[in-house]
Amino acid sequence: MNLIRFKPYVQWLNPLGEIENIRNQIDQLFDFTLGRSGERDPGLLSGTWAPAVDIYETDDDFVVYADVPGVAKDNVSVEATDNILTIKGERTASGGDKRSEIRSERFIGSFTRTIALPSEVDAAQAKASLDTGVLKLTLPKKAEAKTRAIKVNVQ
Amino acid sequence: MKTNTPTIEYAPRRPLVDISDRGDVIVIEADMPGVSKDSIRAELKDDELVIAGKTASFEAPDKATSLLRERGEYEYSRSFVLGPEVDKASITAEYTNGTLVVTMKKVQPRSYSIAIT
Repeated sequence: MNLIRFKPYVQWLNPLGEIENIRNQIDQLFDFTLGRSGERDPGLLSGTWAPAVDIYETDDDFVVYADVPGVAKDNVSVEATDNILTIKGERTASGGDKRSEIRSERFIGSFTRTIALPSEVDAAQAKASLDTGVLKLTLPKKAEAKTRAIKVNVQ
Repeated sequence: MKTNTPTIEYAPRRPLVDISDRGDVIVIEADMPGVSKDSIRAELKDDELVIAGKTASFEAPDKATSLLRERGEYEYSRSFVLGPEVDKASITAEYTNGTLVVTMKKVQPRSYSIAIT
């Protein structure tokens, strides 16, 4: 028996679903052969940059890593309100007026990435470091958001 | 089940580059975030310049569950063929903020007028 992916609604509601799938696969192929970086292609919004991130959760903190190569320390800012984390920054072209492009693949300009974390964080206690183009953030959870063990009385 | 998507696990990744002419020098900027300093290399073999590096092995925080993983461990590699306008003895490379910057001087164009006898 062949295994066929069961997607009863997608085909139905979106007759262009198959075309979209093919498009995605072609995009992936291009990404593969051109060695594009980890960020997903934003389709029509291409020309923007949302850095790739990893998010980890420990008992006390959220730890976020973001790839921001070529961005100086002073050009990145991080904001956290409640559970919304925003990484903003700008990558500037080096070389100034003398620069004349021969090949231009890297994104130049300002970027932003907004992430909703599963619980609120204490922004005042957050730590950030930038090393070899990788931004590392440690965001402590608010006390009330930490996991508590609840004792269950079985009668 | 077979899928048609290519696997990229073992293929070295080509870093994105900007190449620009700055008048007296040509500069290659290649984005290679998180690369360990001892794995990064730039080599010139005849006319071919190869830049390569490997991301530092990553250790997740203790007792962490991952919520989102978009970054990966990569081996980066890309090569460039240099033309005669580049002074191959002058190449320098620097790794700052996750970008490898290779700078090379341009050879000044020489022109002679040849006397016709």
